[in-house]
Order: sequence, then C-alpha cells, then structure tokens
Amino acid sequence: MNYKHYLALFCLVFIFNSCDDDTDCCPMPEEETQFESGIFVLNEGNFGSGNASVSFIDSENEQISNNIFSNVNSRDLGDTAQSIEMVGELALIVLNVSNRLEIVNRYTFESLGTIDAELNNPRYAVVEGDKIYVSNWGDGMDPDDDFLSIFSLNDLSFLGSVPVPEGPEKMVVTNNTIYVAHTGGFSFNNIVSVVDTQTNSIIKEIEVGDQPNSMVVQGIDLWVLASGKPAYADEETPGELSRIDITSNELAETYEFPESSFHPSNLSLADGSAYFTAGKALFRYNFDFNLPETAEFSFDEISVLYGFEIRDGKIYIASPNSDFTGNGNLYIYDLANGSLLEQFPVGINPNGIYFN
Amino acid sequence: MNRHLYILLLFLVGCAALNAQEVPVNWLDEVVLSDVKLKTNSEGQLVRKLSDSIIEQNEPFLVSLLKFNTPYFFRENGYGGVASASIRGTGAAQTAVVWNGININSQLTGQTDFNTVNTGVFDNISIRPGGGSVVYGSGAIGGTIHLNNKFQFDRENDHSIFMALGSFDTYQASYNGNFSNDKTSLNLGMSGITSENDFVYPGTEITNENGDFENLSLNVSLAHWISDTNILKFYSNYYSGDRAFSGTINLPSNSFYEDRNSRNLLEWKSFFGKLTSSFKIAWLQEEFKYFENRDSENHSFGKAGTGILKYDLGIEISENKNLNFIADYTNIQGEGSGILNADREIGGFSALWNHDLEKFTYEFSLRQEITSDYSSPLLFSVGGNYRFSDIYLLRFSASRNFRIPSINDLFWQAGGNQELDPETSLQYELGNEFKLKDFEFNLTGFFMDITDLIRWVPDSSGLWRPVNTASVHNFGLEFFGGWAKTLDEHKIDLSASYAFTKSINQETQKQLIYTPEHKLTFSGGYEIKKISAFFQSFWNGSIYTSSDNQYELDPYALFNLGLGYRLMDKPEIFLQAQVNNLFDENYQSLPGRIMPGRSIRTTIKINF
Repeated sequence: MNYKHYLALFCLVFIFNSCDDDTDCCPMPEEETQFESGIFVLNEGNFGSGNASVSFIDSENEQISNNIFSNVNSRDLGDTAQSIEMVGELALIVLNVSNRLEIVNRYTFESLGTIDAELNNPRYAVVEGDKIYVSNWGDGMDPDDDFLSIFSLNDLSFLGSVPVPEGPEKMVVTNNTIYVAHTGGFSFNNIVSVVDTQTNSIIKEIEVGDQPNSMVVQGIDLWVLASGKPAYADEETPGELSRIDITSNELAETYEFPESSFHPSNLSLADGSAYFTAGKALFRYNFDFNLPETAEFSFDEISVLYGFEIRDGKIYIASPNSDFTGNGNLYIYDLANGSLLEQFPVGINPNGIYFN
Repeated sequence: MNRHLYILLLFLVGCAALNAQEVPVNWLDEVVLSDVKLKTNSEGQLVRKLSDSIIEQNEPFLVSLLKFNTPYFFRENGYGGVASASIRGTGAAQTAVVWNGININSQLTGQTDFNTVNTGVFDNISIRPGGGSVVYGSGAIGGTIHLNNKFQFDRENDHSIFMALGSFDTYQASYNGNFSNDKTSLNLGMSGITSENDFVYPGTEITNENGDFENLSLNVSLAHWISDTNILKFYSNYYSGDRAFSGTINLPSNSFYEDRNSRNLLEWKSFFGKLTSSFKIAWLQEEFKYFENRDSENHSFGKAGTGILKYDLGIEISENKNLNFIADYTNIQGEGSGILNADREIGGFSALWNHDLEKFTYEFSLRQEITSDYSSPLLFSVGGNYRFSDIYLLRFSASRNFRIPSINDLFWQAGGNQELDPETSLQYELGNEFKLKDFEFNLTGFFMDITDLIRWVPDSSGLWRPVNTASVHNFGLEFFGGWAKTLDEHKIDLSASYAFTKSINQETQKQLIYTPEHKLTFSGGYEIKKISAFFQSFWNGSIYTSSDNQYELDPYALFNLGLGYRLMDKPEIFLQAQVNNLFDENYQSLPGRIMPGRSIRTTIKINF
C-alpha cells in the first residue's frame, strides 16, 4: 500500500470538500408554493398494484401530506416508483413497472409531461445539458438488451439510445460524462461504464467490485461503493470501495472489505467523511486508509433500510413495513450520535428521500 | 401415457381367471373407496361431498368449484392464473389437497395451485374443514380437499361425455368411463379445457392480454381381485397445463408457465380374518417451467419427485373397535433454478384407534415423523360425535397439525433457511348437526393456535428469507346448510354456507392479509320434468391486503344463472346454458387482477 499517496489523497479530499454538493443550491420558486421547502419520500408501492405515491413533509410545520402527485394531478402516479431526479425546477419520477417517466414541477408537483415510450424497465434518470438520460434493464433475464435512453428536456422527444452492459443502475454526471454503475439487473455485474454525452457512446468500462450500488464525486475522484456478491451467489464476495480518477478515467485505488459477508451500500459524503451502511448499521470512513471495522451506530427502530440520505447533520431513512405490504415510515436520526429525532408515517414501501 | 399403467395391465392380463367375487360387507369400504380414512378418521369433523351436477356447473378448475360452494376465500392472480386457498383464515400452504388419500401439495411451494387441478376426472370431490395432519400430512391445518376415485364391481359399463363452449373462445371436453366385471373395475377419465381468456376488464376498455390457457388431465383407476382376499388397486393421474400469466392493469406481461404433474399409486390390499393389510407405493412427479418472455426459450424451472412407501395394518379388535398401525417412508428429491441439493427423507409412524359405541363414536390417533431437516412435533387427533337424537348430532375434535418447510423454504438460493421448524397448529372445534325432514345444517365453531408461522420477510440486509415468526390465533364460526324437497313433479333444493373468520397475528393484533372476515355462498336448483334451472352465488367480504390493515379490497358478489333441458333419456342427453357473473360485477381477489365480467357458457352432457 502506498501511504504517501493516501496522504496526498486525504489532503485533496480535505481541500475539495469545502465546496458542497449541488443539491443544496436549487433555484427557488418565484412565489410561495405548496412544496417549497421540505422532504419528499418516494413510495414505490407494491409490484403490479399501481399504488406508487409521493409523500411530503413540510419543513415549516412538519405536516405530512401523502399521495401528493395524485392529489395535485387527479390521476395515479403509476406502478413501482424507482427513483426521482431533482434538477432545476423539475422532478423526474421514474416508474419502473409502468415504464414511464413523470416530469413535474418540484414546487407544485403539477405534471409538466410524461415519457412512456422507449423505456424498458427504467431505473434512474439524470440530466446533462438539455438531455435526459434514463438507465434501463430491458428484459431482466436478457443480459444483452440493457440501454440508456436519451430524451430532450425541452420537448421530451426521444433522441436515441446507448446500448450498455447488463444492469445499468445509478448514474453520476460531470463534465459531459455520465458514469453508470452496473449492478447487473437479475444477475451480477462489476462495471462502471463511462458514457461521453457528446458522442453518446461508451468510452470506457472500468472494473470495480461486484454490484456497484452507489457513487459520489469528490473533486477529481469518483468514489464507487460495491456491495459484493450476496451469500446466495455462486461465490460470495466482500464489498469494495474504489476510487476512479475522472480526469483519466483510471481506477486509482480499491479497498476490499475483509469479510466476504460484509455487503455495504449507500455511500454518502458529509463533513469530510464518507458514510455507508451495512445491514441496519452506519459506518464512517475518514479517508484514513483504513476501512472502518466497527459501526458508528445502528438504526434499531427501522424494519428495513430501504432509502438513505444524509443532509445537514441528519440521517434520513425510509423503511417499509417489515413484510412490505403496508405503510412504511421515514426516520430521522442525528448524524452526531445516532439518536432518533423524528418519525413520520409515509406510503407503501418508501425507497427514496429527496429535498426541496 | 403412463408406463406404470402398461406394466400393470400386462401383469393383470397374465393373472389367471378367478372365480366370481362376492365382497363381504365389512370389506366394502376398503375395496370401493380409495381413502377409507376419510370415513373412519373423521368422526369429529364434517366431511362435505360436492355432487357431480355441482362440479359441472363451473369450469373444471378446483378454484371455480370451491369459491361458489364453500365459505372459504380463494385468491386468484387473474382468471386461470395461480390460485390459492384460505380455509378458516389460514394461509395458502395450510390447506392440503389430497388425491386418493395422498397429499399432492407441491413439495416446492408447500401449496396447491387451485387452477392446476382439473375437476373433470374425479368421481367425487369432498371438503373436510379442520385439521388432519395425522392422516393427510403437511398442510392439513385449515382443511383438506379430497379428490377421490372409487370402484364398482357391478358388471356395468357406462360412459359420460361432456362438452362446453363459452365466452372468450373457451372450449371444454371430458370423458369418463366405468368398466367392470366381478373381479376387475376400470375407471377412465380425461378432461381438457382451452381458452383465449381475452375478456375486457369490466369498467375499462383494457383487454386481458396474455391470459390464454389450456390444460389436460388424464386419470386411470384400476382394481383387480388377484385372489379371494387380495386386491390390487392402481390410480394414475397426469396433468399438463400451459398458461400465459396475464399482467395487471399496470403491469403488462408476456410470461408463460407450464405445469407437468403425474401421480401414481399402487395399493395391494389383503384381508386375513380380522386383519386388513395395505401396502402402498406412490410416485409423484411435479415439474414447472416459467418463461418470463414467452417468445424466448429462456426459462426457470423446478421439479420434484416424491416416492412413498406405506404399510397400514388394520386390526378389527371387535365389531366396534378398530386399530390401525401405519409405517411409512417418503423420499423427496427436488431440483431447479435456484434450488440446490434439495433431497429429504421422512419416516413416519402412526396409530389410529376408532371405537363405535351405539350413540357415541370416537377416534384417537397419533403420528410421529422423523426427518433430518427439522424436528417434527408429535401429531395427534382426538375426535368424536354423540348422537343425541335423530335430529341432533354433536361433534368435537382436537388435534395438533403441522406444515413442514417446503423445498423452496429450505433450499431456495437467495434466502432458503435450513434452520426452519414446521409450523404447528393446536386446534379445537365443536360442531352441531341438525337434520329435520328436508332440512339439514351444520354449525361449527373453531379455534386454532398456530405457532412458528413460516414467512418470507427481508432480513437486515434486505434479503428475503423464510423465518419462523409470527403466532396466529384463528377462530370463527362456519355454517353449511341445505334444504331439498320433491313435490309431485317439482324438485327444489337450496344450499348455503357462511363463515365468520378472525385470523389475528398475536404480535400486532391485526387480521392477517387475504383472510375475509365474512364469506357467504348461496345456491339452488329447480327441476320440473325435462326442464331445470339453477343459480350459484357468493359474497366475499372485504380483505386486507396489507399487514397494517391500512389497505383493503372491496367486497364483491357474484351470481351465475343457468337453465337446463333433458333432450333424451336413452341415451341421456342433457343441455344447459348459463350466464356467469350475471350482474357484470367488477371484482378482484388480488389488487390489480381484475376478473371477468358477464360471460356465457353452454354445455352438453351425454350418458350412455
């Protein structure tokens, strides 16, 4: 191990960390709106039942409103909501089973448009310039039909698609480049593909740990957390944390967790540290060349850690009902000591937390 | 069709002709019935037989028959799709389907898909609410459904042909034949149905895409006296079903599912004075293939073979006291996508005691299984009935029953848990039977304490695994009633059933999902000369679809109405036309799985 290199890295991290992530600075609406400031919880609903919904907790009065999409737009959101991408004044809601993208104003939740073509098993969306990129699994059993579909942000027209390796999931955009984590869909994959948005083609596939599930950009580094293959795979593999230099798109470092049964996810940056979860526990990595061996604390109140965010010193966890049949909860913990601060009942199977 | 059958036929042909057989009366049940225990081991429980005419009023799916004629809930993934039962508030794997005395629940899932049993090939179908694991094994908790064939040695040959034509390009045909002489009885049945099943969801303009199905079932039952005191009985059933799995309103589907199940049972029964000896060999094979995309060859599969050896010695201690000792061995081998090394062996010993005092009859039975995978509880059943008068009979029963972990529970690769224990149920019931001239009814109260319920829940890493988790108390009331009257040329009959069911998770004090508190059925028939009419109906109360009881499905009622006409007497030709779901009810037993609206069915039956 090259300790000098880590030391340099640590310094870099420290310097670059001063500029925060861009989700903090979104344009404010001109007049006061219903969802001006607060927390959204995306409730995926039950597979095949068409009962996905969005809940909102107003930061002013801590009042919770459920089913805000259907209340505002007088129609159901759809089936199995996978994710939301917040960009500018927009919220792009990806509906996996409905094969649909709902585009709403993030402050009013009024529908601005719907994309329901050229999507097949869509997972996540990102926006680069005036283009929307959506990762699609295609047929879950077919490893060769996965793709990114591209739409115009102006008129929602289909612009084309990029065939990609199996199981494209989360994406990160920086400088005309999209980094796509390939968990592998129904199977397992261990690739981060690099898509040039000028040419809309893959310029590189970077091998990381098995099942890369979360990525964060810090300065010139893309940190990728892979969970490893689970116990039921042909061979169980431990999680890995990788650093990719985005100036060269080279894999710079890889740290493998010692236990093959250790499967981390939800990599997040806060206060100069990296945080991730394993099971119901939170771990903290201080960029000190040593992967953490013990948990900071664990979230005993939750049933399942299904959605996770850290923001402004608080941890937000979306937890479905223990058997995924009824309403779930949003739990808010203090990042400093792990104490439970608040709890809100939300919709069916909450999987993601977003902020206005 | 069936290799075992041909081997047996050859064997039988080789047997020397024997003298005409006069069956002693006390052997009769043992000879004629395939499952004599259904009679002798149900002293404390109601056994309710569904008649042929009722069976023919519905398409030949077990679920269609039972939802109109029992107070139990059936959950259907669309018409023709995967269907499961909830009897007395229990789960899908807590109901056993028993074919000629053999439990045929899937070894892979622990349950029977009630849309993969074609009802057209059995001589009778009975329901037996309540526990029965001592005799019927795993899953006999809420109740058991019995599919039986029987023999007659009356030198008669008879045939029955049945055909039906219905909406949505539905075609059904079946043939049943009985052939017998003094020594040999052969019973053949075949039944098939095919349907496009492309109905429009009521209240929408959406068509049930990808819902087509077809299935074929063949059944052979053969009995032959090989000597004055030895009879061989052979039963074979083959089922082949191909189904497209339709989607929901929200979830388009292009998936396809194939079932191939075969069941063979050979029994050698001998009578030695006060002893009845029965040796059974059974071989069951189940196999499925699932195609997520029916246009592709990619599929997942699962199969399981079950071999059973069973020896049953019956001792008639005196005219009214019977004792049976049973030893059995079961070997199960499963394989499939995601299943590894799924072999298991189970040994079992049972003792059954039946004592018939003039007004009071009781039975007592015990069973212990031994297996390497999990520890088995001692199963027992105590049941009896007391006849107070011609009008009133009181039944009682107490039993401990179980549901063993299925192959998927134990070995499924993503989550299979080999530490599982069987679900165990300690249950009691008290039944009242009233018979007054043309009127009879049964009212039963029951209580069940089910522990170690096996549930698939996500563990801390989000992986779904089966664990022995909740404890549930089920209790309720169950009613079956009937009235039949013949007045000159008018024949009229009515029957009804109702169940009030509470199924309460002891941890949360909430009602279990997919268990309605109320279900009511009501049906009747009227016949004058050559003309007949019938109706069938049921009302299903609301059901919770979430364990926090926050979400529920609306109650629904279905009504079918039919008219029949007897065209000829020799051969007997009977025509019938019916309207199903007359009021075009928009209903679903699973969210998003809308069932068909109004449809028409016409049938012809020829007996000769």
